Amino acid sequence: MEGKIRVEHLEKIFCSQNDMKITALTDINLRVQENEFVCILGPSGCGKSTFLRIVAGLEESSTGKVFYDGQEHVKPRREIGMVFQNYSLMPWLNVLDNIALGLNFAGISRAKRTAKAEKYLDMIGMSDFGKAFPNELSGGMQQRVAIARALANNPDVLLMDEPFGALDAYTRIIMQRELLRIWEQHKVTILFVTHSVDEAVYLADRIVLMSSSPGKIKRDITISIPRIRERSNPLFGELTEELLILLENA
Amino acid sequence: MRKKFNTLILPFILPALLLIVWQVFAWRVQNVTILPTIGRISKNFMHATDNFIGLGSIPRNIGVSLIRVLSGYTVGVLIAVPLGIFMGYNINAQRLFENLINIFRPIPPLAWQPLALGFFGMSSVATLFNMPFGQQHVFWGNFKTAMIFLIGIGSFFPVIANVMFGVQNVSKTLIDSARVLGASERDIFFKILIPAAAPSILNGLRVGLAIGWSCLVGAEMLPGSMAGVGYLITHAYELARTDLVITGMICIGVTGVLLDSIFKIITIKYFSWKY
Repeated sequence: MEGKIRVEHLEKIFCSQNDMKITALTDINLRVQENEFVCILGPSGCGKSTFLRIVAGLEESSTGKVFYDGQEHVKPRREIGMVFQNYSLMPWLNVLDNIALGLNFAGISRAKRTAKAEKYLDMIGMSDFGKAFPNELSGGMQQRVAIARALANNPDVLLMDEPFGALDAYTRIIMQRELLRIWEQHKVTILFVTHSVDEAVYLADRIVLMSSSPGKIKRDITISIPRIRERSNPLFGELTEELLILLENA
Repeated sequence: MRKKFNTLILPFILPALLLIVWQVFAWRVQNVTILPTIGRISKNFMHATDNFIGLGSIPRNIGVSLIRVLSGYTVGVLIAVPLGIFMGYNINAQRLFENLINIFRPIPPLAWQPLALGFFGMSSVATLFNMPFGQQHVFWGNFKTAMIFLIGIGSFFPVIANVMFGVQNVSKTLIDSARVLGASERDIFFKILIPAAAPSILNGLRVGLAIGWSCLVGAEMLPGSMAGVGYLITHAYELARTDLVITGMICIGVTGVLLDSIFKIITIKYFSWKY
């Protein structure tokens, strides 16, 4: 199986100010199947965000390649959407125009893109907020809009860089449930970066565990607990425990 | 009640105090050359359309000054805004221009007076556009190239500094978000960078106009000036007409506030997302 996203021998080396070479990522190999939900879990500074940015085409790798549908890819493309941790909405555009932004770049007429944006606004349950501006929304609502904006572009793959990392614990749990619902509805492949074990166990089909300095893949764990997962399920607790121990030694 | 006091009364306490102190001092000094009374100044404003010391009415002088400042400002802005955007967008453009600009920035516009006079002499809008002699020529002859140059220099630096800062400080996340949504370089420039930097650009325009306006008296001290509030002040000083000096100062202050309020209104109307 080729997979939706394939990463081969990826390596990223940063040059610091005094010409020191820092290896951020080394020998990353990964295959993500179509409609799979993969969480990349790792301690802060393990290079997981850098990895996601390379997959998005926002940064270049030093060596190694990223394939999308079997084709090598280096530049951002509409088929691969991305959701950032926060403050990614254009503050001067209202919610509808933000959701329609990708369609605007694609040259779709105003009437058509607004109609489509309204559909996605509905999907995230924010129909009454189309004319609101981002600074009038709560953090959770802003992230909903960011997800709707990415999906309005009809991507195959959704890259998510700690999208709920800045939210409070309660909103975070609501958003996770919401994301699963959207994922099942839209059938996209999701590559989700997080440092929360609980979040990864709740969401993922597969968890890719990374260790730091240099960042590399340590374990690849398939989760077979059926959805919707209950946090009270003993299997949930056992897996979380196991991952925490692995993470500690990462 | 308390809120009413804070919004309606508080802002006017100090100006009122100033008027009282002024009036008390004026009575005690009893010398119109040192400090005329408020009554004397308000008489000037009540007869604003009179011809003062051969320089015409107050509205006419304000009008002449406004045209001078706005033309100098326009020239300054037309150069500063595109260059500032370019320097904020392109690091090499910044490297190329930055030192030059930083060297000239601290020089007060007034220091340019002798050079401006040397470069531009008595040329004016009338001579630049080769206007035929007559009333038109006399009117546009009021707008000397050297004055426009001085005011333009005054406006240029705050505008370019703010524009460059604004473009440079557009959040990286916004640009990345646009890229992953399929934005072209052109989209990034026109649909992200410019609107994101717009509040800073507007702020630059605002400060630039204020500085340009405050260069007025210096610019109108140049020879060949026959009207304008700045010239009115200089000329009134020579005639020991302190009341007219103060009248001119008030005109500059009030007009400056009115110009600034235009920007305030635009900011509130279009850039509320930022504040």
